[in-house]
Amino acid sequence: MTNARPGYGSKFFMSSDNVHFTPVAQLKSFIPQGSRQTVVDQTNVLTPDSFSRPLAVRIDSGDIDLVGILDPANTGILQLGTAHASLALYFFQIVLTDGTEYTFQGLVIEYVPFTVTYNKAMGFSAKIRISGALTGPAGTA
Amino acid sequence: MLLPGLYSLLTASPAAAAVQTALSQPPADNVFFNFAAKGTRRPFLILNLVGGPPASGSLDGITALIEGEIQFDSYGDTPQDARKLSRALRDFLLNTFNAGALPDGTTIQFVDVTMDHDEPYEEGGSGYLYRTLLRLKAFYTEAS
Repeated sequence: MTNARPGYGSKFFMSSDNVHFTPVAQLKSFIPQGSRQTVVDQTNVLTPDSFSRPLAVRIDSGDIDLVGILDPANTGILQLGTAHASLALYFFQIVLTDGTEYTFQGLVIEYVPFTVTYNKAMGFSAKIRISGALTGPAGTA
Repeated sequence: MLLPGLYSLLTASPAAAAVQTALSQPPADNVFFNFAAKGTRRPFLILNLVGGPPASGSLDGITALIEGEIQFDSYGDTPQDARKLSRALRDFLLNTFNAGALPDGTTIQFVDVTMDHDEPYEEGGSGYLYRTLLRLKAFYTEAS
């Protein structure tokens, strides 16, 4: 049996003080682009075979892309612009459908306040750059 | 609801005079939902909602705003009559009216023509019946 859950019902919160969290409203999706290790090559003349030896030295938690439906006066959306303009590190919390939580700090490095197409509903988007680790049920991830 | 609101707009609004003139008189007896009664005087009009999904959805739910497609079948005794009624409809709904509240309270914004063509003639009791099919895309929020 494969257990699966829909994305619907998941929440994405943000806070400037790590106390008062506000959900980002009307999100269609939030998709991490993935955490990535930086590696250096430690292969040398003493390496016993012909295969390289990478050494992991640093982890970059990457970005999270947000895409939503615009409600122009909704402060749950506008808070992204406030965070973007402040240059400040914000606190974020993700709660998945089953209640699993992830937390992290990050910068709103990109903010598109509106996208307009004459025959489509208006949208917005943003990109969060994670600072440090994403912390989830298994610790840092 | 959308179609009754459109019916009232097209048959009773002074702004829709061009549409009413192109219809058989009285206009209120010659606009129908889904199908027309046999023996209806021509030209007449049939309204159909061919698509009415929410404009979008998000993690917060679906929108009340509907991204709809409405079909207007204009029937006449000649191809010219059918085309004249269809063109009057298109020009009124997209240009003259364009956006606003329908008499039932539904708010609507017409945005595009998605289909506009002539259908093959049909044999009637004592002649032929011609139809011009027009589909318009509109965003709307129903009052009830």
